[in-house]
Amino acid sequence: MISYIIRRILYMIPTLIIISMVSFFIIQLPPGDYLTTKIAQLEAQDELVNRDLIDALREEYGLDKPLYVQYAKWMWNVLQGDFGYSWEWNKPVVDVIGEQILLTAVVSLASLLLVYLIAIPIGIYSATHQYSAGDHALTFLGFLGLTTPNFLLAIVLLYAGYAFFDKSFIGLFSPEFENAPWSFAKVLDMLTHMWIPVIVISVSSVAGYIRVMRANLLDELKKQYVVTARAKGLSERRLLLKYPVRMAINPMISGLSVLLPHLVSGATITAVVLSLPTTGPMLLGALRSQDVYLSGAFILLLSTLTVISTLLSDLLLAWVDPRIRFE
Amino acid sequence: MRFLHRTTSAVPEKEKYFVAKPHELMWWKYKKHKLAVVALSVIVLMYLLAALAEPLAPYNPEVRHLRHLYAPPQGIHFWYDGSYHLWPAVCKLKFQIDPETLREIYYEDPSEFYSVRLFHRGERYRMWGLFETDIHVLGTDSGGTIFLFGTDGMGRDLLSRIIYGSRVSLSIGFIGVFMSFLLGIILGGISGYFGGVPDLIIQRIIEVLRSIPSIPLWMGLSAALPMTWSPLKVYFGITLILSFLGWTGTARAVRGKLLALREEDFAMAAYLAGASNARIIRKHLLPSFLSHIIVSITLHIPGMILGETALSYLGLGLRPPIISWGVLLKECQNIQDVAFHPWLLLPVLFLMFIILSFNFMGDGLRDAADPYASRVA
Amino acid sequence: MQANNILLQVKNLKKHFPIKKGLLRKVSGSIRAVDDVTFAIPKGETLALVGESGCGKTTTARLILRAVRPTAGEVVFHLPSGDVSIHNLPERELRAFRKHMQLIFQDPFSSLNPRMTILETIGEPLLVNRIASGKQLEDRVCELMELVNLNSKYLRRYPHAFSGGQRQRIGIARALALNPELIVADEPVSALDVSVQAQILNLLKDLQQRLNLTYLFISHDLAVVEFISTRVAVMYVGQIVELAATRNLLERPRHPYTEALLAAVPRIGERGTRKKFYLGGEVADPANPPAGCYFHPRCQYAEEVCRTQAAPLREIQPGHCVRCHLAEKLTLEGV
Repeated sequence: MISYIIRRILYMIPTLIIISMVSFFIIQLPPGDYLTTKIAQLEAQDELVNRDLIDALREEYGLDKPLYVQYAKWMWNVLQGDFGYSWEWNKPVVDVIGEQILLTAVVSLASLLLVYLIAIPIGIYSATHQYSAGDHALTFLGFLGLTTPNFLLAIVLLYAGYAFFDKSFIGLFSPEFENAPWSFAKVLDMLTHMWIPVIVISVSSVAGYIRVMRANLLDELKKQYVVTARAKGLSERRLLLKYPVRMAINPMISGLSVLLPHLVSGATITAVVLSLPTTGPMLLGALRSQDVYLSGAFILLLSTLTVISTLLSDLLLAWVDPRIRFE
Repeated sequence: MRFLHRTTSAVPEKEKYFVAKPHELMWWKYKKHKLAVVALSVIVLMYLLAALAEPLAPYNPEVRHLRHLYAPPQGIHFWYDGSYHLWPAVCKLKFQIDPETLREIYYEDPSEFYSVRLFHRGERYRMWGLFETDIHVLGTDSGGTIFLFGTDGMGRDLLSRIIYGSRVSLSIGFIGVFMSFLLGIILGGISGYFGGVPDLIIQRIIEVLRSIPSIPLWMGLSAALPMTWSPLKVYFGITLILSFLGWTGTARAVRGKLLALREEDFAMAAYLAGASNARIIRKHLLPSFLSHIIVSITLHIPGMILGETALSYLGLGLRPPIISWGVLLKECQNIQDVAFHPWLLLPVLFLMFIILSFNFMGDGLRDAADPYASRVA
Repeated sequence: MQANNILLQVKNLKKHFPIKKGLLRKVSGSIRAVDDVTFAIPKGETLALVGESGCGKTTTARLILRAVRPTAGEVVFHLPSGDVSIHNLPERELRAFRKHMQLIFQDPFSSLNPRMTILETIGEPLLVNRIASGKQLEDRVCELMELVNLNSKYLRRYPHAFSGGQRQRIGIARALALNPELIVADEPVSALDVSVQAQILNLLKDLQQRLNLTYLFISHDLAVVEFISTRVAVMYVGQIVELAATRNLLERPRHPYTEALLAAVPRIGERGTRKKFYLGGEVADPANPPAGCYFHPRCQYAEEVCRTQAAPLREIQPGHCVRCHLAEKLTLEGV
């Protein structure tokens, strides 16, 4: 088991390296750099631009060096915890996005938990009461959820809130807590606001996973060990939980590595719709203004988040399913 | 000795079954799924709608009706002029300024009505960029308006814009998936058939790409598209970006199938008979996994369509003057606008329809894809 | 053994699969799937290869057909046109040579491509080797179908129209298409019902007489072996432990493993007159076989020499080879 863990961690390292390169590549893609954009902006506003100052700035930030040097410098700093400086916001990147990334992680993980908490019991119910009215109703709801991708649902929900309930679902905090320092009250406030975005983000995944769980469990229930256990006199509920459910959950856990990037991605765009202080809106802005360190840090951290969770899911799977350990 | 084994020929239905080609078997199995058949018809209809957008749309999508900004959807009436009529008509749209909000309130004046016209001569357009004509399937006499879905902030008919938008939204899904398909088959094929080092490298790449959340990645790549590009270039750029991540799923499916199929006895038999690698791939392996690939593609298309919609909604994807459902939804970013003019959300309905249909169709295909699965003893 | 009539000669064939373990996938040992196998099959005869699962029978077959490359050893075909050593052949010549040896598969449900008609399946070898096409191909396929007692009007049917026994016949027809000299049959009747088994075995025997075929017949069923083979080779953990004419082997085995196999076959009508015993222990691990004679941990007759010295395959009587130190001393019971 230990060697399995070590091997998985070692595998993760080249993955992270490649991701960092991809992140860097992406943010360098647009022609020019932050300073050229800034110049264009200033010139558009008819402000005088001090060429010497610009050149000095360019040299200070290393923008005139070749790409691989910039990359190396960036990575070196990142490993030391320094994610660079945000030109747009005039603060170190860490100050700007620290809270945002944290909130993104919280929201994504909450969505993840919700997906499992809802999908598994409903899937079990659906499978054990196949073709009943409840099953049909849940399947239909499932399809409905499947077809309403997160940001569309967010838009519709926002509208419904506005039009029918005269309530705004925007944001993660009540106005008074918005810029306040963290406190227990703030956490509570966040929790009361959080459930809407979390539901929105997880709805389509919940629907999909209900179907997966249902299908897997149905397959397992047909197998002969279930018949044997029943013949041995095991009560239906114990039987269910002890054997087929454990088997059916397997693909769900291994699916975590795909689910979490999906949720993070959904969280990003839902954040734009609902104006959440998580990743979305700020990343958008950073990309538009080519604030490279900011957007690079975003993409890098988001991807790292998902890679680490993939690792965790693999470990979880190995713990649940002994067969994996011997591969 | 000649007729030792069987003396009777099978009953005609059974005989048909015995000589049924693989695609016939698949179609019969697919038909069993009523929902999937319905879904298939819906999809075909929608693509027809997209193809025949020009005559089907009541108005040209760029035409601004300056006296009807933000007009609500009009109803089709069979009761007018005091009695029921067989032929539908629309009422005249008039507006008043609401004294409190200073906004226009539209209402229908039942005293003035215009017949609904079919194959009506309306605004001129170029059909598929080839020839000019002005025949619209639906229209009404001059003076009247037939905004079945209302208009947007610039007075443009929403139904027409949705129909034209379907052209872009639906085709991007298709083309993007086609590119993913190509990439996926090639890379997955190399990975599965040859194994070894190329397999390892490709697998790693796939793992990395799958760990990156799609929307941030797409956002990053789209932001790189220069503002100066022509709409068409942007269109292709977006398609490329969407397939950048999409091929991984296909590649994995292809690889998995190839690994399994390589060991199949009948492939070995062909090898032992002296068949070349190319023939084995073409005749024995390819047909088996082609159907699975088609299933995975069908299930991918909704993701692509949504991806384009998301990007355009964020302003990073397609931009006016290109019309896609995502571009239409961009106008819903301001929630106050939407609250007053909820019909702007109608593209969402179309999106949901298409996604639902593709999902059902994919389900049906998945069941039908391997008609021989139950044959294994 | 008539030395002048040999079709296939296998000498010291070895196939070892390396085991990769640990973080860096170092080779820590090897699985000796086939370990020094030697035999010869005269033309027109049937040699049966018998043994438990995992003893190396299928690997030996694949080595002979050169679907797998050997770690060591030789496989030689004696044809009228000359002797051919298979493992030396370059790829192109190998492809052309394939028509001399064909394989009949075990599983009738996976050995036929479900998406090809019978005509295409049986005709494929002819097509690929450019022997016939079009109408000629059809005629030849009809001939082959009649050879295996299949109605030739089923040409355009797909495999899902046929039963297991019929599919096996199709497989046999396909194997005969190129007029091979050698046919390797890998447990061709194991997946069939007993009544159908008899039909197929009769067919195989019939074909052998008519077409002067040579069979390498792999099986784990001794009753089948008794019916169809002239000689039998018993394999254990990659080695041949006994090789003899069928009658001799069954009536008077000379290796304790053979004796154990025979004792395990249930016979109707016997009442406890036979020596009853059950073979204890587990089959030896091909990655880590015991020292000395591979069989000694399970052998009830084992002596000191068996534990320390590996036993060579020796001819103790004309035509009867045994891999046992004590072959001369032991009197073993057959059926």
